[in-house]
Amino acid sequence: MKQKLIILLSCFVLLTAFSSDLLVFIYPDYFPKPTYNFTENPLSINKIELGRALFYDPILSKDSTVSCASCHSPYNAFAHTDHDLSHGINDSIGTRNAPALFNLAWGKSFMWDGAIHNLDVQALAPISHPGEMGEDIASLVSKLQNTSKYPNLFKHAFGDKNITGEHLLKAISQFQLTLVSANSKYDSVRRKESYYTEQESKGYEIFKRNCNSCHTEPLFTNNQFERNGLEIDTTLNDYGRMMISNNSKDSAFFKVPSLRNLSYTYPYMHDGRYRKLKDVLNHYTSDPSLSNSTSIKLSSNDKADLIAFLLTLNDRKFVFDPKHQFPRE
Amino acid sequence: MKKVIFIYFISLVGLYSQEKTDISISFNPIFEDSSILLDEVLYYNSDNDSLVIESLRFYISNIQLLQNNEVVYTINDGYYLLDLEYPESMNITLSIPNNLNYNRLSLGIGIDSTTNAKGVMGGALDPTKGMYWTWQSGYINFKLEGVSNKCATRKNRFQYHLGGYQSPFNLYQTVDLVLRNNNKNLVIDVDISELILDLDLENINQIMSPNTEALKLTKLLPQIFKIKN
Repeated sequence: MKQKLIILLSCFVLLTAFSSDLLVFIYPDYFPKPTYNFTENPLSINKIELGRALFYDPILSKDSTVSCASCHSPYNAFAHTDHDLSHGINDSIGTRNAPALFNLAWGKSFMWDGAIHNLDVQALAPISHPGEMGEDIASLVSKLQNTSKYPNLFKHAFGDKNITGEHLLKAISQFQLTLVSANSKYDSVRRKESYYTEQESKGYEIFKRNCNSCHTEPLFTNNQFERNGLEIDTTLNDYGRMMISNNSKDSAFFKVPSLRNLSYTYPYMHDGRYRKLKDVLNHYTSDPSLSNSTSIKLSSNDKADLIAFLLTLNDRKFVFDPKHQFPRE
Repeated sequence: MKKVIFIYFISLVGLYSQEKTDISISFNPIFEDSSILLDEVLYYNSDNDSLVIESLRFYISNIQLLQNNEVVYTINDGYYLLDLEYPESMNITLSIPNNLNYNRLSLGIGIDSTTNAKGVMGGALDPTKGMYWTWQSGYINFKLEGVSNKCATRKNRFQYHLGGYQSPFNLYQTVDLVLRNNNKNLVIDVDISELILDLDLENINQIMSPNTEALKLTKLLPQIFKIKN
């Protein structure tokens, strides 16, 4: 009896020690286990909110004109609709399309070429790139330290008013980790809360036969790099993965993007060359440069069915979730 | 039961009473026989060539003490950023058990791949320290920047940023030094001439990413560390 009491008491102490602020990362049971190591950066409300404030704050850029949200807008599933290439300070234009941000807890590498191995250090790339935010991480830290707002937010989140690069990046990771897209029609069908139309069902079968090996369910990406037959744009000369691995076998390999939320994330491909979904399908079905393994044979009816299915991957709830939007103070 | 508590108590006392002693390791940057001072010109090759070191920064990690071939003490999670700009950073003090016998020292030059593969870290490893690549993940293990008349570059500048942890360009190195028995005040010369004299400065003056040249230069790093006493 006494022993039981002691165990109970110690459990209680543990619970209170970790109560209030700490959160558990929630995701559907048909999703794989996240790759992100939450034990190194346990989610908390204050850290997420700090990360959210940072994500929407142009103070991250050298001249305080560009925030993360400038190219990763919540209403576009955190991509940049209408812009084929990313934007930066001084109206500079980058060389790749700003990718959508969601389900990052399952990412194995980041950026179109996989240059970044861990979400925590990803933000360093756009912050310091001269054509994006053009800021130095050390001067950003001192800039934030000299605001009236941020030392307190860091104190609430990390228990320390002194801002460090580690805490700054962990907070930005935390907000991005909460961007989970799992409420599309596809998801409700998986959860048996809804049914596909006949056309969507047909499209799903076509998808499974032709697309699923790279855009693998339920994340709709295999998180690998593939060469999809796009010709190199000679105004950009972007050879993708090869520029990171220095291995000629990786020439023109790019990260497979998720197909979730595809209506919100146009234009498509790593350089945003296609504005319409049908252009993408035409590339895969008719581009002569594609090898037989990548080329897909589809009738025009098949294409219509496939698109009907692909539209079930749009997650309106995610895109309009107020928890992800600009923080109102 | 009482006996168990007693043993527990004794071992606790034992743990706390284990005497510790400090050992200091000083890193002393030199070029052949002369000390290196940042931004000062030094001449070499019978004074035909000149060299100015503007920046010398490197990580030391995974420090181990050995007795012959056996590791007797490991400093866990010890990452030290040595920066000639801050002379105090060139000295490392370690607290080790008093009664340790050792005659060798092993140092990691840079950050190993296991540590690199983790997320963001603090302290000496904080990305604000200027030793983390932003465009491609990975720590810079060793940074050497300066000017030499031999470099046919703008303003005769050279920049070597050696780092990266992914195969085939895992640039983490270790160096093994033989010590006087149980020496507690170690001085290690860091002889930059061992790099510069082996280098084709005229042609190789910019290394900023993990590649074949970086790997070649990195292989020379262990030989620049020489125990002095």
